[in-house]
Amino acid sequence: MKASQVRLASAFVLAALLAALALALAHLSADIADFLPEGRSEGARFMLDQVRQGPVASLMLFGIEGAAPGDLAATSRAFADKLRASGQFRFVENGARLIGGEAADFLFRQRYLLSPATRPEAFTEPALRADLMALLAALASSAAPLAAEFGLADPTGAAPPLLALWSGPSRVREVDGVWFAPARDRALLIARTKAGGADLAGQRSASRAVAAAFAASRHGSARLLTGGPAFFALEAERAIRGDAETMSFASGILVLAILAVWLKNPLALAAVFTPVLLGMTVALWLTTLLFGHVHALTFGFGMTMLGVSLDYPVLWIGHRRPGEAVAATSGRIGRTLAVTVAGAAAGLAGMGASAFPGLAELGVFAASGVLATALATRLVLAPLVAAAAIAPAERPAPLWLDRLEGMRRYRAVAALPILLAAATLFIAPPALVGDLAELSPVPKAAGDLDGELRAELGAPEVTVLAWVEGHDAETVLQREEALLPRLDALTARGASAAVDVAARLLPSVATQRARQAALPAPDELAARLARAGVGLGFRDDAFARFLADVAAARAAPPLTLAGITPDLLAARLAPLLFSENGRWFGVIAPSGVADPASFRAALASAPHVHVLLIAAEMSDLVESYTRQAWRWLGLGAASALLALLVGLRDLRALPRVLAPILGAVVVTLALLGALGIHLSLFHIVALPLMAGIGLDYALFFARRQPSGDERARTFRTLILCHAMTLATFGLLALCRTPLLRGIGLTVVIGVAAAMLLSFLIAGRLPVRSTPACRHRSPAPGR
Amino acid sequence: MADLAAVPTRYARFHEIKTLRALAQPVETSGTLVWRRPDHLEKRTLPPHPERLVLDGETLRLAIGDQPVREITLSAAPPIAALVEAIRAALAGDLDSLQRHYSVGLEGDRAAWRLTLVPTDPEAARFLRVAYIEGSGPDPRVIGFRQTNGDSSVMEIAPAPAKP
Repeated sequence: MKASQVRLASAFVLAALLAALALALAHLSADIADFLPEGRSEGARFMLDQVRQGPVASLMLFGIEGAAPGDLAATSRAFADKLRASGQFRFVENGARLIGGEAADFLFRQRYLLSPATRPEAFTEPALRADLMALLAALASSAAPLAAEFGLADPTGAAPPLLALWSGPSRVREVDGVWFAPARDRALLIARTKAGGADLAGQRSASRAVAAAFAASRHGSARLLTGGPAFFALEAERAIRGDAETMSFASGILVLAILAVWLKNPLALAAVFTPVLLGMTVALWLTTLLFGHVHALTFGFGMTMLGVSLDYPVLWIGHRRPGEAVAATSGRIGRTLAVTVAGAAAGLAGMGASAFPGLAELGVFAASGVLATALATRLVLAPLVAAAAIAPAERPAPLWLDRLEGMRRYRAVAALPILLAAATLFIAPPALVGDLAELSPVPKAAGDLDGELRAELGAPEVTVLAWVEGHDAETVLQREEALLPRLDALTARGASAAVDVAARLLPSVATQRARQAALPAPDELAARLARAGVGLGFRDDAFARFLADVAAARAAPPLTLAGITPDLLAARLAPLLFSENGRWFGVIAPSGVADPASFRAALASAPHVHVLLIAAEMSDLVESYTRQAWRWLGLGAASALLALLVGLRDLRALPRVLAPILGAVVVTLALLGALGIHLSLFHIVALPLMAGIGLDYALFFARRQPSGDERARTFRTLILCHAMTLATFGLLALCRTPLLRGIGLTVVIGVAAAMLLSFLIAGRLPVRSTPACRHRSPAPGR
Repeated sequence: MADLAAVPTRYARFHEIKTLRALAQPVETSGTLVWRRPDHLEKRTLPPHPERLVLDGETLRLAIGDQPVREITLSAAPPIAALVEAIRAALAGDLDSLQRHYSVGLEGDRAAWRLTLVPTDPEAARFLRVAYIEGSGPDPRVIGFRQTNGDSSVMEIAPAPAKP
C-alpha cells in the first residue's frame, strides 16, 4: 500500500473514531416530550407538562379479558397482589377496598369534618328522632350487623356520602369483589407507578414488572389490555427508538452496498465516508452544544441525511478525471458544488428558526451536517483522493445517453404534469393534519382501547382539563368550593358524567371550621339524643361512640393535605391538589365529558379558573407551528435563492435550475394529496430537504458540460446519488413513526420528480448531430 | 348435606330472635324463606318489622319497611355477606359454598346434625365469631349467629308447603 493510500485509510479511521466519540458524548434523548412543542401561555405550558409528566401521566389502566368471569377475577386478584409486591407502584386498585381497612377507618374517624352531611339541621331533636327510628328498623332487619357496626356510631349518616365521594366517579360493577366493566366480562384495574410519567427508564421497569406479574398470575386464557399515558409514552419511545435504530442500520447497509457495487474499490469507499463521518461529528457536537441533547428522532433523521451529504464526496470523486490535480477538479465542479451546498444548507437552516423544539434541532443538525460534510469534502477528501489517485475510469458517453438526452427536445411536455399538479393543488389544496395524535407512533387502536378502559373505570379523561391556582392549598380549596355549584349543575345537565375535585374530598379549613360550629356541645347533644330516643328501646350507652366522636371532631384541628395519611387516600388526592414552584394547583378532572364546549363555557366565566381543551390546545399549537412553517420555509427558500443568485455565473441558467425544483415541489404536494395523505408539519419539513437534493441534480445538469464524457460522468454520478437517496428515504417511508414516514415519502416522491425534471429541463439541449457525425468523431472524451 | 342438595326449590317459615347490645329488649321477627336453585334466596319479614331481601348470586336487594330498595354487592358488605351466605347455603345444602367461606365442623347423625361454621375470611371474622346450623335429615331447623360485638341471633326454620 502506498503512503498516500495509508494516509487516506488513516483519515477514514480517524473520522470514524471522532464520530464514535461524538456519539458517545452526545446525550441521546428518546423522550417525545423533548421533541414536542410546549404550550403557549405559562399556564397551558404548565398543565401540558402535568398531563405529560404529572401524576395523571403515571396512571396505568388495565383490563383482563378472554376467560370465564371467575378466572378473570382470580387473575385480577393475583395480578394486583403481585403488582403491589413489586414495589414499583404507588397504588394498585382492583376492587372496592375502601370497605374495611385503614383508609375506610380513617375516613370514618374524620367523618364530621369531611362529610358534606355535617350541617346544623342534622343534629336537631326531630332529625335525630327520625334517624333513630330508621336505625331501629335497620337493627331489626337483615342488615343488623351493618347497623350495629356503623349506624350506632353514625346515626346521622355522615359517613356514607363521604365514602361515596372518595370512592370516585367509577361506573364499575363487581364480580367476586373485583371491578368489572359494566357491559362485558372484563376485569379492571388501575395503578399509579412510583416513577413519573416522563421517567422512561422507571416506566420501562414498571412495565416489565407488569408483564412478569401478569405472566405469574394468569388463570385460563386471560389476556391483559393496557392503557394510560405512561404506557403510551413507552410505546412511542419504543417505536421511535426501534425506527431510528433499524433505519440507520438498514440504510447504512443499503448505501454501502450501492456504493461498493459502483466504486468497486474499498479505498474509494472509505474515502467517500470520511467527510460524512466528519460532518456527522460536527452536527452532533453543535446540536448538543445548542440544545443540551440530541433527540433520537433528530439522530435517526441525521443518519439518513448521510445518504444526502454522501452526494458531495460522490460527486467529487465521480467527476474527478484520472491524474487530475485538486485545482483542476475544483475548477470544473467546485463552483457548482459550492452553490449546491449553500442552497441546500440555506434551505435547511430555515427550519432552525422554528419555535417547534424538534424542528429547530433538526434544522441545526441537518444544515451544519451538510456544510461540514461539504467543507470536509473539499479540504480533507480532495487532496487525499488526488494523492491516492482515485478516479473513475475515462469512459466515452454511451449511445443511450445521447438518445436519452435527445428527449430534452420534447421537454415542453414536462410542463404538462407540473401544470396538472398545480391545477390540482389550486382546486383542492392539500388537507393539513390538525391533531398531534395522528403524528403519534402509537397505533390508533391502542388509543381507542385507552379511551374505553378510561370510560369503564371512570378515570378522568385527558380531553379537557380545568384548574384553580392559588398561593396556598387553602386558597385553592376555597376557590374550588365556590365552583362546586357550577360543577354540580354541569353534571346535572349531562355535560359531564362526574367531576372530581379536591375540595369535595378535602374541604377547606374554613368549611371544616363551619362544620365544627354546626356540631352541638357534648352535653347538649347527649340531652337531645336522650329526648329523641324516648320509647325506642335503645340502651343508655348505645350511642357512646357517636357522642365521643362528635366531641372529638368539635375539638380537633381541621385536616389539611399533610394530615391525610393513608396511602390510598393520599394517592387519590395527589393528582387533584399539589404544589409546584411555590404555587398551589387544584385540578378539576371531569370524566365522561359529553359536551366539552359547554364545560368550558361554564367555567370560563368563573373567577380564578383556567380551562384547557387539550385536543384543541394541541391542534391550535400544531396549526400555529404549521402556519409558522410556511414562514421559515419562505426564509429558507429566499436564502437558497440568494445563494443561487450569488453563486451562478450565468443568471440565464436560473429559470432552468428553478423550474425543475419548483415543479418537483408542486408535483410532490399534489401526489401526496392524491394518495389521501394529510400534510403534517413533517411533510412540510421534508420539502427544503427534498429541494436541496433536487438542487444537486438541477445545478449539475445545468452546468456547462463541454464534452461527451463529462456529460456521462455527471449522468452516472447523479444516478448514483439518486439511487442512494431513493434507498435511504424509501426505507424511511416504511417507518412506524409518522414523522419519519412523512419525511421519507415526501423526499422519495420529490427527488424522483426532481431527477426527471432536472434531467429534462435543467440539462442543455444536445447539439444537433447526426449519427454519422458521431461515428466520425475522434477518440471520445477530448 | 347431600340430602339437602337434592331439592330444586325450598319453602320455609322462619322465626328469628335477635339479641342486640344496643337494645334493651330482643327483637323478634318472622316471615318466609324461598330458595331456588342455584343461588336465589328470598326472605320476607312480616310486620311489625317488614322487610324484603332478595339475593341473586352476588347481588343483594334489600328493602326495609317502606324505604327504597338498596342494592348491595356481597363482597362490599362482609358483615351481611357472612350471614346471608350461611342461610342460602343451608337451604341449598351447598357444602362447597360453606367451605369457601367457613371452616366447617359436623357433629351428630342424620336424624340430628349440627354444623359449626367459623369464618375464614378475615373481613367476615371481624364481625362474626361463629355460626351454626342444626337440622334433621334433609331439613335445616336452626341457624344461629354469634357476633364479635356480643350481638347474636337464632333463626328457627320450619318447612312450609309450596307457595306460601
